[in-house]
Amino acid sequence: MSIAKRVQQWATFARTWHIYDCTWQNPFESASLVKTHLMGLHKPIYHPMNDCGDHVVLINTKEIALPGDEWVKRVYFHHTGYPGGASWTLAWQLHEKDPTMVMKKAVYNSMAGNLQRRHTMQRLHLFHDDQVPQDILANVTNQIRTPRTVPQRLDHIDKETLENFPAIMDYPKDYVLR
Amino acid sequence: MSLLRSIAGVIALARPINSATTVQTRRHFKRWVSPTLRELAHRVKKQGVQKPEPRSGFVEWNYRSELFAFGKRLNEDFQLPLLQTAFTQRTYAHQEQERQRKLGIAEADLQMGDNSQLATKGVHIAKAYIEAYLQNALPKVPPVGQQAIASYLLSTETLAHVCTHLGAKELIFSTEYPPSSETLAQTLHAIIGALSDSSGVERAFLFVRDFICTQLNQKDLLEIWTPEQPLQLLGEICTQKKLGEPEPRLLGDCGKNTVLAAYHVGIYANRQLLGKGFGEDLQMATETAAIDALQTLFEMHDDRQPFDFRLQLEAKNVRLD
Repeated sequence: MSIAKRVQQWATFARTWHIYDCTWQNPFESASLVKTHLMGLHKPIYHPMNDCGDHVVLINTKEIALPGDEWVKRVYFHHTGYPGGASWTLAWQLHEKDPTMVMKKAVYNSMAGNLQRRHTMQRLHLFHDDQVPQDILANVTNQIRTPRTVPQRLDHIDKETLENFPAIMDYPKDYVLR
Repeated sequence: MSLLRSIAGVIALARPINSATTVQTRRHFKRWVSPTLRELAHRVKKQGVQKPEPRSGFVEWNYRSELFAFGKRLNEDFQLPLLQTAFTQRTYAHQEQERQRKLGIAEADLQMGDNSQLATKGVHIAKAYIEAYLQNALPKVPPVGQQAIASYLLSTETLAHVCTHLGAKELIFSTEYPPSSETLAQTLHAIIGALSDSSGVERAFLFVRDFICTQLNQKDLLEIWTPEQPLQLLGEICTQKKLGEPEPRLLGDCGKNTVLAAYHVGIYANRQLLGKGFGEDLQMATETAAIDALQTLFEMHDDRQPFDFRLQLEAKNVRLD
């Protein structure tokens, strides 16, 4: 094999590092996107027996947005294996205990339960905020586009902008604002 | 009586051959089959690995017709005595002369030619034609590269491979069997020499083109010849062609802090991208980028136009010394 062919192989099987911002994202919608990159499904060389998955760094998992009333309706089941060891944890309780867990389980459950799944999960790096260690951040070369745009919150807009914002009507002088 | 016998014969012939009554169904193997096979296998094992048997050792071997067929298979008209000489190794000729001398045959009848002269001639023809062919097919490759490719084509392994697959192995008069690769290579040279003596040097040139140059087909040329110190060579060539100073630049990387780090480097000269390459570190990536640029400049990329094996080189363009 000539040197050009060897480095071509090296480049083909290089592992890219992606970053994904979970702020205001639906974890279950995001999971299928992240799974694609983790398993290398987006690559033309993909094959179930081909080890071509990429690394994905998930940041701000604390800021995920579950749809509807999922925070109170979604239940995570666990069994210790001993009699009476079953436990059911609501999503909001789990999120309080570990803010990366809901996202992690969403990605884990989006993949088929085979021997490869736990090895694929090793390439997922979760952080509850945007404080990523520098040695991990140095590897990252791509950002995965988020499916939802992050809405602007009224209480995050500064006071000056709010006051200068054009109003379509004025309240009467004697109107009582509660 | 004879009449009776002929009638019986007619009746026997009239019966369909594969009728149900004639088929003998065998329900078992005879008791002697298994022990016999076992004994045979045992004897084969006891004898050990046997040397390959030359085809000429068989009874119905007709050397003359094989020799004739060899030329006809290649669509060439050889003079058969010349071709036979081309297949005779010097060591074999000496051995045969000694044997005949011992048998008391007169010295005058012991003349047996060998292929060394023909081979010398063949070497010249093959070398001259291959060099001319490469000059024509890869005009932008520097002489060092052309020489490397020519020496690959003229190497003992390549020639032995060609010679074996032309079916010369059984025809060679050699002291050893199967003949060594040196013998095979020398024989191929001698065949070229014999062809040149039989049908003219142009015919020998075409033989070299059709059977030796075609070995380049689908080959990765970089495997045969890789420029040493490519960045330095690229610099020299860029100054020659006035392309400007080549400058490596990082195009991309991934996984810097991992063992699977990959770097993508492009080589620019005068703001023009000359070539790009990958590597596990920056030095290797720069080197492969330089090799890629050189491949483009020398027109020896994988995706270049395939070699033209119908090329008709004029004999005056081949420098035969």
